[in-house]
Amino acid sequence: MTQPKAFDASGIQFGWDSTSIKLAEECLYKYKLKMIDGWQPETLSVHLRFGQHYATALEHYHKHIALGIDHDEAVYLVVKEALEDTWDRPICKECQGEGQLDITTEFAEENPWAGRVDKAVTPCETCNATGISAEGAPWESDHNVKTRANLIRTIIWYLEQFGKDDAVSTLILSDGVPAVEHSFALPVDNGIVFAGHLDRLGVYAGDPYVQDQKTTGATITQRYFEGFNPDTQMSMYTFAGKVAYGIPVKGVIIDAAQIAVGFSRFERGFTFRVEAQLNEWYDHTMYHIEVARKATRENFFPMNRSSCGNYGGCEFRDICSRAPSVREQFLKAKYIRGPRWDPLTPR
Amino acid sequence: MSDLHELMARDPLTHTREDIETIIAEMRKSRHAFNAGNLRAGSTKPKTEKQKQVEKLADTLDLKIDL
Repeated sequence: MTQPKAFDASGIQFGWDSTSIKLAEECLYKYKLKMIDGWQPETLSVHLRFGQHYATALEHYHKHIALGIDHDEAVYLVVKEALEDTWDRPICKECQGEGQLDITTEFAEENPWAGRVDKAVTPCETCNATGISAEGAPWESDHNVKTRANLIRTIIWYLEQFGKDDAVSTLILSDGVPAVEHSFALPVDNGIVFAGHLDRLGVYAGDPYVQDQKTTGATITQRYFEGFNPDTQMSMYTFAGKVAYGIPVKGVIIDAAQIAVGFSRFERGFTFRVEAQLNEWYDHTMYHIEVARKATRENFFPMNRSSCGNYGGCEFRDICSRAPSVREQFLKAKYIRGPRWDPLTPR
Repeated sequence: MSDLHELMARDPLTHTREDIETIIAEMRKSRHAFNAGNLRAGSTKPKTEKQKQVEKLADTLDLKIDL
């Protein structure tokens, strides 16, 4: 298995994003299963996939607008892109995703003394050398509301509400680049690098904020937004906005979308961080990171049994409930070991 | 005009600009209907045969019915 960039030669993680910090804070055993061993569900979580397509569409919309494209054209472009991205195309059966055929060698007939020569590679005509089958099907979500059609509806409805007359404008960085879709890698203390991806840096009522998109099936209330303080992701975003971009970011604007059968409804909330809160978050985070690094060095990852029932129950609860000697078998039955999550791979 | 569900089920590489604009226009229309009080206006579930028949009849009679 390839070692992710965020890990050093001895397998210790030095590049940390909010996802891996949260795992280290939550449970070291879960951190091991996901970050060290790379266990993951066979298919991407529907919530993750829906959220990724949605965030990408809005990021790209803001990028188009910042580059001078008008609203209607920008909506058209992101809807087209989202439709294409949610059409699943299998690899070409003819070339098995290679895009080319006949990768063989043979003797040159006219001059056998020349020895073996490579036969020219033939581009696969079945897939027009793309390696991807022309066939395909729309993404079939197994969720009742986070579906492909509702994704498109949510993108369009959000842009109807916040597109043209958005009170938040995209922040333009000192080099003239719109602050949209920014991956950051920020060296901090002890050889640690904080990494992540900011959807957008925006200006609201004269103050800079990071903007983030969330989707939920629940009704969005003030309590929903209160759940983001304290929160590692939001603190990390504010910290990165301040330190990586040198901008006095006040916090994060959270645009939350409630996805229901018959509608998508949006609410905008704020979560603020003052300097002292960020300093405290930094110290606590560095502590948790050091604990996880020590656990990796010593190969000792104790479970945090108090967190097994949080957020509807840990995805590995069924695994952890088994005897240690049989866990591997149960993991193999329910999960795959795919490419490990790499905080230092930009999106 | 193509039905929204038929358009959504079509390979996006075969979509024309008009097809995508139709999808956007239909979605915008459903948002207006939702804001006007039809809480099911944004439903993306395919319409039943019965709903289609009623819609056709409403068109024929020039009635405005949100389904």
